Amino acid sequence: MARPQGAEESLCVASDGSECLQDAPAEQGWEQGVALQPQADLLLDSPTADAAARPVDLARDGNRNRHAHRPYFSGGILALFILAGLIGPLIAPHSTTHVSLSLFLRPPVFAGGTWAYPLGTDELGRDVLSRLLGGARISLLVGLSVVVLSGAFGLFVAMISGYLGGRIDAILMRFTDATLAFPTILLAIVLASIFGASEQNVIIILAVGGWASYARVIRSEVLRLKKQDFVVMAVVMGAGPLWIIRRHLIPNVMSTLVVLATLQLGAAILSEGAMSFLGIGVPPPAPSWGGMLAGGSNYLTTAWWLALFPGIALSLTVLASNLMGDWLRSRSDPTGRR
Amino acid sequence: MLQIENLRVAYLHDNRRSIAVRDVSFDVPTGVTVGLVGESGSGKTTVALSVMRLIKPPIGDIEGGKVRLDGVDLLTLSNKAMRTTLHNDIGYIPQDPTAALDPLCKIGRHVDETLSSKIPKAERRALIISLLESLGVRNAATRLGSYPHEFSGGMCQRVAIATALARGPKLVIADEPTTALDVTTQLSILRLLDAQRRERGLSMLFVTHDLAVAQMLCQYVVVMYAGEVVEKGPTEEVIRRPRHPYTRALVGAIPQPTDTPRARLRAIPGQPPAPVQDRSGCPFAPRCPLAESACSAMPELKELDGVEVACWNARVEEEESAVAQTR
Repeated sequence: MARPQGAEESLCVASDGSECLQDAPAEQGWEQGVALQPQADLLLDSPTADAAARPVDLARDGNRNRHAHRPYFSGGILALFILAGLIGPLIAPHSTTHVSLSLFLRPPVFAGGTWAYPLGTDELGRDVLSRLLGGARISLLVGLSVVVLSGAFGLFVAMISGYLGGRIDAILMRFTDATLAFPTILLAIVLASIFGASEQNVIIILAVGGWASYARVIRSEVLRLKKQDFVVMAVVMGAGPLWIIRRHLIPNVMSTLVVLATLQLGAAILSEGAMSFLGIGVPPPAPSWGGMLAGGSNYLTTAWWLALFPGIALSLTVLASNLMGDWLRSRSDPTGRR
Repeated sequence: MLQIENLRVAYLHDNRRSIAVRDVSFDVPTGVTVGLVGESGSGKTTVALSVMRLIKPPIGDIEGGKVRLDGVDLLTLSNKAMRTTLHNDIGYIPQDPTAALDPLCKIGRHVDETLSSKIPKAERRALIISLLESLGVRNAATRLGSYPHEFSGGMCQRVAIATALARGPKLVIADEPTTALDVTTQLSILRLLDAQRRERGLSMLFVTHDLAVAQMLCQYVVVMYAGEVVEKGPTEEVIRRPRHPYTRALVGAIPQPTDTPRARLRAIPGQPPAPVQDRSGCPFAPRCPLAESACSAMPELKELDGVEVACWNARVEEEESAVAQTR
């Protein structure tokens, strides 16, 4: 664009604001070589653009981008996982625990097996597909319970610690540090050997080990948020601590909470697998992906399907929950930028 | 009206106290805008926050003084009574309009939250729309469902102002509300605030470091330096004929349209003193061109020709010479 327009621009800014830099008629006029004088009139007469009118389009664009990346893959996998967890045992072709040694180590259908046992059988002749479906229920139950319990407790600690501050904050955070510093699997072994291995204990152990990261991360968010002007304004409007926590702090940490929760969902399912693998998780004969992996690892060279299918199920579920968390995070942020 | 008497505020670091506001006294009469001016760190924001009792341990401590709103000392109120007072009588307009609004809260809800839930919903909605329209938000009805990030800075500030005004407060405290805005938006926001003050008979405490803004909006100004009031009086008098050398230097530091291009800005040499526990003498003396032996004792505020000024050498000088002197 030719340089002389600079003079017009500054004139125009002084007269009616920033909008006129994008003033379409003036731009066109200049390109068509209209003389300088009429153009100045155009600029000066042009109505001030409504500063409020534009952002609506921005918002629409944001929505369009947001919908362009629907999480079909992770959503599909998670839906399958949840469906399997809910109704899996009902549609399973065989019992998950019925042992029939005469059927042991049948290969899956595509490796020379029969349709009666599509994914083969294990060393005790149990149907792998049925146990996989049964294991989904346990993984789902353990994962969700751990996430809800530790998330709620972590959020609670973070709100008290971050909002009240001072000595309470110091005490709670040292406690959090101690929990974070303690290796979860060691804690799990100790607690499991004291209280015994059961599904319920697995949930409690993982929740006890898992709340601290929520508390830590969300507390720092609260510290940042409570200094924000909108919280100060709420205080000046006479809002009490509970109101501020409920209306301003919790909604604003939700995206962080969701990310942490989905990451932890994957981690909890993995940890349950690890615990079952070590024999301190869900006790056999109940089907658990980790337990199936542990059992299958003895037969890797002869019956690969025993470890492969629970391994795939575990990896896909963890991957899908991580991807879903990422998508939820970008969606829950209204600016869609973070 | 708001009366501040001998307000003394300290900030706490570890076990040290640094005094940010020393024995500050001034009044904000009903229906009047008082500008609190001074450079960064002069304690002007601290005064404003102290009125709302937002300075409390472990950050800071209001050590003494009285802050009376219509005769009631806010500093001695119970927490609950203070909350009621804040809710009903005081509106606060913060500096950064984009941070003033909760990013997850729709525009309408910001204003709505300050209103009593006893008012029926439809009535509240109508109220909010008319308030926003009167503050220059066009098509307010269709914009109530927008999120703050869909608004420009100036629009966000209008919403913040609406939030502050919705309850019909007696006192509005504005902490540099136009600093984050560009000059043209700044002007329209200032006009708006002034119109609202007239219309509602508001008392307004307006914190700013911009003398031009203070001159435009405020009937009175209080000039603060290093936590103390050095000069206070009617705006025109203080800015046209500054009596305190600090005010004179501040006025002189305003760039003039007549300045030649590339002319040096007229900064005040030196740095403001660190906020310390004890101090003797005039805090401005180390930077003052008129300093003399008398300045090692603290000057009291005394009246000189309608303006109160704390300086041993206070005198009325004409505008031009004031500017010339600091050059």
